[in-house]
Amino acid sequence: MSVIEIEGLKKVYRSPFLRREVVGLEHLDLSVESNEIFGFLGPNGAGKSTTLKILTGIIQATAGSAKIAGEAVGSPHARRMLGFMPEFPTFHDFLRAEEFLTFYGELSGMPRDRLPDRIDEVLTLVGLPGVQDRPLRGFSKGMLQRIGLAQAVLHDPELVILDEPMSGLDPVGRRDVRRLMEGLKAQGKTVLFSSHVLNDVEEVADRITVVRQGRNVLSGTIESLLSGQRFEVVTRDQPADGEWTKTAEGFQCYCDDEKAAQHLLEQLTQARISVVRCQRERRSLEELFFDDFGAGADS
Amino acid sequence: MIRSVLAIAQLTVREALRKRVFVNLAVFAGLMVGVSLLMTGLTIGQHQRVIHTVSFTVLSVVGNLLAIFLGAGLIAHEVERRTLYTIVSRPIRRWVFVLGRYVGLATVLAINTLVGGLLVKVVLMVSNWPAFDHFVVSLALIYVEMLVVLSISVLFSSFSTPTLSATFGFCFWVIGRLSVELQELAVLAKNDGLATAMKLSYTILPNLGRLDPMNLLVHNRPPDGGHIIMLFLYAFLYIGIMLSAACWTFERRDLK
Repeated sequence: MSVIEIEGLKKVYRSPFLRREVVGLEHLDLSVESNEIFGFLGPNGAGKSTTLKILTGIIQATAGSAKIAGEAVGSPHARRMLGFMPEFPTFHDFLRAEEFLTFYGELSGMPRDRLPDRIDEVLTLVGLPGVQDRPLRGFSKGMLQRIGLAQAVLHDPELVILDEPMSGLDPVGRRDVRRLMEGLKAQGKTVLFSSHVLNDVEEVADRITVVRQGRNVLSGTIESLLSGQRFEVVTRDQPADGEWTKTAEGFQCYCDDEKAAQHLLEQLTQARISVVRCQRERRSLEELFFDDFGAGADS
Repeated sequence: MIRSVLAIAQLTVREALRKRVFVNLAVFAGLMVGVSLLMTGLTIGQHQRVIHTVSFTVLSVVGNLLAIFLGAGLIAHEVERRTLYTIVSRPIRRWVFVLGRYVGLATVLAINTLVGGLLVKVVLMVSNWPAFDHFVVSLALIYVEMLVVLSISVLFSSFSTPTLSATFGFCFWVIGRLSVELQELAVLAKNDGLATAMKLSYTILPNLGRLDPMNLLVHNRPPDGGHIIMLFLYAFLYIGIMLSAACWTFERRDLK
């Protein structure tokens, strides 16, 4: 079942007086299935944040449709289902952590008697136990990112939308966010997130889409996108025929497709050469990104 | 929805407390004590008039400036600092936010006016001077004027920057205070265009001069109950129109 359905989404920004137009989204189609972690990638200005802002009701689309669980975005019912953390979150820093989360709990219509326990629970979940009485003014950037995550998941939403959740976090923080996303998925939730940290996306996302100039140019599962056509074969000893490269593991060679790889394996078996590894070549997400979008691509 | 309005109002009051908005009351208290010490050479009637004139004027000016400058930032600051992103993505309508912010700042102004009024009473009691007969009605008029000015600031704040909102709010307050003069000038103006502009300004802008308690203080006559009720109805109708316009504008606005 699709949790998010976007069809032909378009956003044109107009300057207030001159009415000069800037196209933020050209024509975006997107579908996010239930209980998956979906990565949203693209260069700066591609339309990622614009899409997330439309989904969360911060801005309105110029054309096209966007639905959350079948409901038009912006409706209270659609927003009841989602939790959102914006990029570089800023909050009312005069509040203490507990007051801050209580405020968001009230806005989400959570039962008052459940709030104190739930606040303790989410603060522990995001790695901020015991900060209830501390004012946000004294929080570091990483702590603000974490409390931003806490407010996003506080009301136990079905869909969590995170705009650059790893930015500003140290490696431990990034790992914690990945774990949090995996934890949400384990609970049956859906996570849509944008990120510039491609390694993290590769590690945690089930599916991704890449947008460029307001259109999605690439979509699919991580596995299908990163698996190449070629096969890598590594042997312990150097075979007599073919072009083999010496590596630390032994001797390496690439076959153009699966059939060629099978043929080579038969030859190696007959020649009694032991095979260390035979597997489909896999690119990293970073390689895919730069190969497909050029060295100038700024993720 | 009421729960969300109250949560946002509570946030606004808390913000005012933590940002020490009520420090103005300490200055006001000092001013009252200073004025009362300077009045020792005057007769009882003069004491009473000067103390009331100074205190009502200061309460009104400070309260209206608070309404203008805090009101101007109520929505616009939130948009600029992007603190609204996580609020508008919650299951609430945007008018709830506008109303909550308005109710919160109206509460702050009520506390400010009430405590200011109590300080005046204390100064009068300590000095053994009687309070003006229509003290409470005067305070109510001052407060209602603040509510009108606040609603105007909130309207501008719903689509403009804090600086522009404060500037517009201030202009509306000053011109609103002079609206009776505008009407008189419209009669005297020889230029038809100018006369029309003045009549239009008089019709659109709030007639804040009518809410000035100095009229009661000067004449010291019992206020006409019907007239006071009409003034309040006029003020609340104006507030309703301003807030409806603010909600309508803010509902349709893209937050960048």
